Amino acid sequence: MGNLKIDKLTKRFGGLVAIDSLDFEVEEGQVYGLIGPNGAGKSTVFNCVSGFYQLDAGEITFDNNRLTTLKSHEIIRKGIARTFQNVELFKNMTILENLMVGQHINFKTGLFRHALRTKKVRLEEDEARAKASATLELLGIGGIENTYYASHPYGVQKKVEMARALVSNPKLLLLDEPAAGMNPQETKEIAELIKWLNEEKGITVLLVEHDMSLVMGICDQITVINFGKKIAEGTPREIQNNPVVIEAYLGKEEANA
Amino acid sequence: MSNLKKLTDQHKKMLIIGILCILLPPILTSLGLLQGYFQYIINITGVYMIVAVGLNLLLGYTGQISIGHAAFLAIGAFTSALLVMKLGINFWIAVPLAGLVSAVIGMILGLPALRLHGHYLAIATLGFGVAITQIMSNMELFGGYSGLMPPGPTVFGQEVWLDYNLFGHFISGDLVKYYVVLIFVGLTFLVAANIIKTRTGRAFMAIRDSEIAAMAMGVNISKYKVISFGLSAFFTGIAGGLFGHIVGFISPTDFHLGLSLNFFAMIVIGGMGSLRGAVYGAIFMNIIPELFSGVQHLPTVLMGAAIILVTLFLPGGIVTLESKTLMIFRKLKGQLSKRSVG
Ligand SMILES: Nc1ncnc2c1ncn2[C@@H]1O[C@H](COP(=O)(O)OP(=O)(O)O)[C@@H](O)[C@H]1O
Ligand SMILES: [Mg+2]
Repeated sequence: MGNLKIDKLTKRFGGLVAIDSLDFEVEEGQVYGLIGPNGAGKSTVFNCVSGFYQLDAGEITFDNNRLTTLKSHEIIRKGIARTFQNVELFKNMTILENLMVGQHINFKTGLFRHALRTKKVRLEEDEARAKASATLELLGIGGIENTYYASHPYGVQKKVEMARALVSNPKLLLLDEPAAGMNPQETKEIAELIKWLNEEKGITVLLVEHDMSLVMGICDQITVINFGKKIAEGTPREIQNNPVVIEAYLGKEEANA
Repeated sequence: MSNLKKLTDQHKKMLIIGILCILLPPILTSLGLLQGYFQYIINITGVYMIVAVGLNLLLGYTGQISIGHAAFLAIGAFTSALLVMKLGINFWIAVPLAGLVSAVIGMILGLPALRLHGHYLAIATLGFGVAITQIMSNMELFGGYSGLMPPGPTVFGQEVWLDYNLFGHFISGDLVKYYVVLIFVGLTFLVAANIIKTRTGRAFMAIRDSEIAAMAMGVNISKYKVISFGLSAFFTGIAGGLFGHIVGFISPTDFHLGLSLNFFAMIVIGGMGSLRGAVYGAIFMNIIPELFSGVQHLPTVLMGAAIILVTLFLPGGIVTLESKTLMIFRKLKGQLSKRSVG
C-alpha cells in the first residue's frame, strides 16, 4: 500500500527538540492535514520526509520503502513531490523551464544525446513542454510559460510551485502552506483543486496549512502537533471539538496578545 | 528553396552570422584592412571564445566559480602537443583527445569542489591552477621553462599552416588558422547551445538558482556539478590544444593566474549565463586592448578603466546592451512613424 508512515520520528537542532517521537500514518488516497501553531515542527517533518534532514531517531517509510536511507534527490523517484513554505522557484529560469526541471526524472536521454540534440531528445522536450503548459492551464494560470516567477503575485507563485511538483506525476504530494498569501477566493480554488487532484487523479496529499477553513474542508484525517509532539489526531470534526487543540491555539493567541 | 523556407528566424540569423564569419576576413584582407598581426589576435580571440563558453557553463549556468581555468588550457595545450609530437597522432584527433584528458581532470577537481562554495571554491580552484602550472614547469616532459613547439595540422600529410596564392589572391597562413579555429568555435557553440536547451543544462541552472529545490525535483547535485566541471574543462582543453598549435610555442609559465583572471573577467563582462555573452566577453578582453596598444604604457590603464565602466554601467554584462539597443531602435522607429503620420 502507498502509505506514508512516520514512526517515532525525532529531530533535534542543537539543544532544541524540534520533533519529539512523532507517529502518524497517511493512508493511500487520503488528504491528510498536519497542523499546529507556528514553530510546532510541521516544515521540519516535510524536510525529514524529503531527506533534507538526518533523523536523530525514528523511521519514515513510503510504500514499505525506507526513505531514511535515500538521498534527497532520490525521494521524488519514489513518487513523493513537494512544495516549499517559502517559494523556492528557480529565479533566473522561465516558468516553463521551472516546470521542465519538475519533470527531470521523467526524461530518459543523457548528456551525449543532449549534446547532439537528437530527434529523441526533441520529442521528449516537446512532450514535456506540452505537459507543462497543460498543467499551468489546469491550475488556471495558463499562458505564463515564458515569464519569470518574480513578476507574478505570491498566489500565482504558489500555484507555479504546485504545478512544478505535479508534473513529475507524484503518488504523494506534500504541500507546505499552499494557500499562504492567497485571498479567500483563491483559497477556495486551491481547496477545490486539491480535492480534484485527490479524487480524480488519485494523488495522496499531506497538507500543512494555517487556513482552518481549508484544512477542515478537505482533510480526511488530521494530526495536530505542538512543540514537535502530537497533541491530537482525528477527523476534522473531532479536532475542532478537542479541548487540547483549542487550548494550544488559544494559548498561542494569548501569548501573542 | 523549400528547405530555406522552413528555416526559422533563429536559423536565418545563425546562417547570416556564419556566412559573415567565413567571408569577412578574406574580403577585409584583400581590401588591406586586416593585417597579419590582427588576424592572429582574432584567431586567439576565437580560441578564448571556446574557453569563455566552457567557463560560462560552469560559472554562469551552474553557479560554480573557477579561477583556475588557465590550467585546463595548459593541460589541453600540452596534451595535444605531446600527442602530436611524441606519438605522431593527427592534429584533428589530438585536439579532441586533449579535451577529453582535460575533462577527466576537471571531473577529478569537481569532486573535492562539491564540498566547497563561493569564496572557498574560488580559492581552491585558484590553488589548483597555480599548482598545475608549477608542477608542469618542473617536469622534463613539458619542456620545462623552455617549453614545447607544437607543429601545425596536416591534411593528407601536407602542412596546412602555409601562405597560399589562390588565383592571384594571397591567403596567409593566419587566415588558414582562422578557418580551423572557426570550425571549433562553431562546433562549441552548437554543442553548448544544445546542452543548455535540454535536461542537462536545466539541471545546471536549477543548481545555480536553488540547490534545495533542484534536489527536491530529483536533480543529483553532485553528479551534475561534476558533469559541469568536466564539460567546462573539456571545452577549455580543446581551446588549449588549438592554442598550442596556433601559437607554435608553449611554456607552462604562459598559463599563469593572470590568464585565469582574464577568463573570469570575460564571463562577468560579457554576461553570465549567456552564450552570446561569452562572445562579447572574449572580444572585449582581447580586441579592445589591441585598439589601445598604440598608446605607450596606457593600454593596461585604459583597459582597467573600461572594465570598471562596464561593470558599473552594465551590471548584467555587455549582453544586456542587446535589449537596450533594440529598445532604442523601437523608440526611434515609433517616433519616425509618428512623424510620417503627422
Ligand atoms: N534548520 C534549522 N536549524 C535550526 N532550527 C530549526 C531549523 N529548522 C527549523 N528549526 C526550528 O525548529 C522548530 C520547528 O520549525 P518548523 O518546522 O519550521 O515549524 P513550523 O513549520 O511548524 O512553523 C522551530 O523552533 C524552528 O526555529
Ligand atoms: Mg513551516
